[in-house]
Amino acid sequence: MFPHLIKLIWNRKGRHLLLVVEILVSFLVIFGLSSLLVTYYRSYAQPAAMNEANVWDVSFSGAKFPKDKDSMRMYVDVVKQELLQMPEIKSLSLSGNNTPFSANFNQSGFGYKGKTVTSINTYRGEDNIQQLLQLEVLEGRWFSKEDEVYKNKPVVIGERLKDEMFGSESPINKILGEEQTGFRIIGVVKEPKFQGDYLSSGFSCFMRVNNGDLEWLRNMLIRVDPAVANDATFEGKLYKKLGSLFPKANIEIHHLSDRHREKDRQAIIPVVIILIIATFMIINVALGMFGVLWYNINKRRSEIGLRRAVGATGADINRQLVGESMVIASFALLIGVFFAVQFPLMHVFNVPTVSYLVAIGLSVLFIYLLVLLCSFYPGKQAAAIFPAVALHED
Amino acid sequence: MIKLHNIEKVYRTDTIETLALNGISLDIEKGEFLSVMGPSGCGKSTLLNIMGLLDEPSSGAITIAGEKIDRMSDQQLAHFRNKRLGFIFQSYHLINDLHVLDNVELPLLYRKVNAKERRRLATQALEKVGLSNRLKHFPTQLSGGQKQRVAIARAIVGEPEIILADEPTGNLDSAMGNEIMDILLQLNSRDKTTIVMVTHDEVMAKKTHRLVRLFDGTQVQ
Repeated sequence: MFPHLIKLIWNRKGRHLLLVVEILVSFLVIFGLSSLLVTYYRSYAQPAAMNEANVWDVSFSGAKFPKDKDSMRMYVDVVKQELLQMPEIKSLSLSGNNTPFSANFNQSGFGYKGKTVTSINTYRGEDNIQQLLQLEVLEGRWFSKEDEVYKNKPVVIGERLKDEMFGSESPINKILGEEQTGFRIIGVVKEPKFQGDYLSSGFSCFMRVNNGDLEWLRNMLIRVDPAVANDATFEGKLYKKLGSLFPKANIEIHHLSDRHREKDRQAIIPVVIILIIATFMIINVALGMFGVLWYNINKRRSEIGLRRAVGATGADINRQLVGESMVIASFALLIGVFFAVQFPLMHVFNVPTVSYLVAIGLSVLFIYLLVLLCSFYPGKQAAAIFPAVALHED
Repeated sequence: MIKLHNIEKVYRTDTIETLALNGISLDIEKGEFLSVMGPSGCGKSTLLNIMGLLDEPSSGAITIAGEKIDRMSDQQLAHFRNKRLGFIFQSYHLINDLHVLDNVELPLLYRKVNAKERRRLATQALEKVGLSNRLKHFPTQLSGGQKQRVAIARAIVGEPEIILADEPTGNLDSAMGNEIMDILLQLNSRDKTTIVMVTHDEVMAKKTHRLVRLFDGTQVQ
């Protein structure tokens, strides 16, 4: 029966073109949506690998530091001591402005033995930032005082960058970039979800704050006592203190947990919008498909009557019509999958291949279910046509 | 071969009740060639559809080849039609998107015959009706007479015991009509196939063994 269906559909290909296009368009929409959802889910399922509770991001843009490097270091140390004297502050670390969940990005590219990885998020922090954010070291170690003496600046990389660049090889003590001026990898951390629960945090690399960075670093991460984490009075007190330490600076205090929620909200809103649009499109496509199938079946009543006369049961007719729809859907899906596989092959949007493959699988399944649903009722109706009536109508 | 006992067929709508067949009883012998005549709307095609198990009588009993056709399931009816009955229609009912050969193979498709055997039997049937040179043509590329010969090939490909023909020459000119009639007569005499033919043509009807006339759903001859 299957070759018969293929032959029949092939000979009617012109009439099935509209249906093929409709199924193809809906597949592509579903593929786009499911790629997004699969990517989000995969990020969501990952552990946070950090703890932002009770951590505040303090920015002091416009603060004037002494020009001389040594004076600058002393000035910063004094500021830090002043702040740490407040009993509510448990620890603090200078940081680049791309603090967790912020909208700022600081990206670089690194190479190793001819392999270059670009779009690496580069974070700066002091020796205690690992403890402050509770980052999880998987291999090697975090920064310490001893790193000041080494020729190559130390870096700690995220495990995704390690997998991308070194695979199963250990990256510890390997140099990123030139042998003389490159960065020595001293540790690997579990990828922290700095972009929230749903967005991929990409590749990450942590650098140790050095004296040269001080002239442009204007952010500080502060872990406060949980008792004052939501205390506006303390926040006001801290604000005043910072104002006195950085006169004329623009002081801003953000709670990382608030930023986290906001980041997640920003990630979800477009998905909800696409989901609503996709739902309307799917309903539209389903109704269109239902209509086309219904029309086809009504145009083929004489053929249905003939098939019944020569020995087809009602169930045979239903199976044939549903089968035809499935074969037509398969033609459309073949074209759709051809386009869809270009996304992982060309690494579009840096989405992991597995996410695209799962999305393709889900979309194919969804389309087959949709076509099955849309063709089942018209097929059932066709099966119920009395042969004498169908033959008489021609 | 076919026994009809007191067959009635009533078509009902919300307001009208139409008696299409009124107490028809017929006994058709094996190998008989019977023609059914009557004015338009007298119930000829309804009678043929009931004999062909394409329609159900409102009352009465049918026995075909010794088998009582009541309480048969949809599957049993389909199987019976496929194995024992062949149909020829006035408007041919060919599938225009399939080659002649594929059209003729159709009944065998529902008999689960393998592709090679289907091809062989369909080619043989087309040879019998003189169309072995048109296997890969589409129905739209054929004349009316050729289309009807394809329909006959489709009817005989499964070697049924009974052929039911509903005005097989109705759409054809007299020369082509005679050709088709000759094929049917040959099938009847050579293969002993029982044939019931509905026709408006007195000349064609006279070539058959027996003539039944209907008028307003009642058998008058």
